[in-house]
Amino acid sequence: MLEFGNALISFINGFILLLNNVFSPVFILSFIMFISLLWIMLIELDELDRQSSKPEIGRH
Amino acid sequence: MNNIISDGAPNKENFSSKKSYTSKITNYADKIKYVEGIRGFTTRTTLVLRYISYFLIVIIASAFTQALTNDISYADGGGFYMLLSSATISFTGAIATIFYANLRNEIIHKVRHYIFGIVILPGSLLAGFLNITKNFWGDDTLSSTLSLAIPVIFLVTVVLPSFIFVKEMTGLRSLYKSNLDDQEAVTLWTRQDGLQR
Repeated sequence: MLEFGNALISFINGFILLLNNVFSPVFILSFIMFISLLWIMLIELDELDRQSSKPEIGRH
Repeated sequence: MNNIISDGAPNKENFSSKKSYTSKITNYADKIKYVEGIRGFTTRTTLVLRYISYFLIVIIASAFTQALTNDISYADGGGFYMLLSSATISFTGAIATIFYANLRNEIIHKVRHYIFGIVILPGSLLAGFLNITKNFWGDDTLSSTLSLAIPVIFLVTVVLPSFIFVKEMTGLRSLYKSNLDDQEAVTLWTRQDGLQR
């Protein structure tokens, strides 16, 4: 039982350590910037795709 | 294809995509290869690599600035502010591309200009200058004034552009609103302005 408790506590400690590292301001800022740059990159890829085929114009 | 007036150039009908996931991806690659050739893949790969390098440049420049501004009064921890500024600008730009979809190319150019042209490169240079002149200043009035002024320039270079960028993005609708009155606008649109001669 004691070993189980120790294992649980060390698991919780490790989890808290992970949270402390993951939720540091630098990591959060990098993550935000990564997501934003990813979105901007997807937009540029979409623009490239739009340039590669002629636009669809319905028949008048 | 019952497109009678087609000129033979490929359009999206040639690549209809109501298929499974794998064939969608294959279809996408096929379309790129059919229309643009191998160059289509290299263009896209270059774009992805370019954005990876953007991310790494911001991180590395911020780390350098953090090291260079260490223990410098009024500029300590400058790298963190640089990262904060870059993250704010890119996040605001990404949100702005959602709300102003018709201006998204210009917004992307503006984001790049703000991050690299205004914040990262001049900020890193200023941090290097701050670090070099760290032990240069004496106790005289000019030295104390200058040693206070340069961190202020650093602040203006690194921190203020993010605020200005947010203001610019939130004011886009009014910024791009035409100042012409109706009659002027109509004469321009119908080319009765005399400029065609």
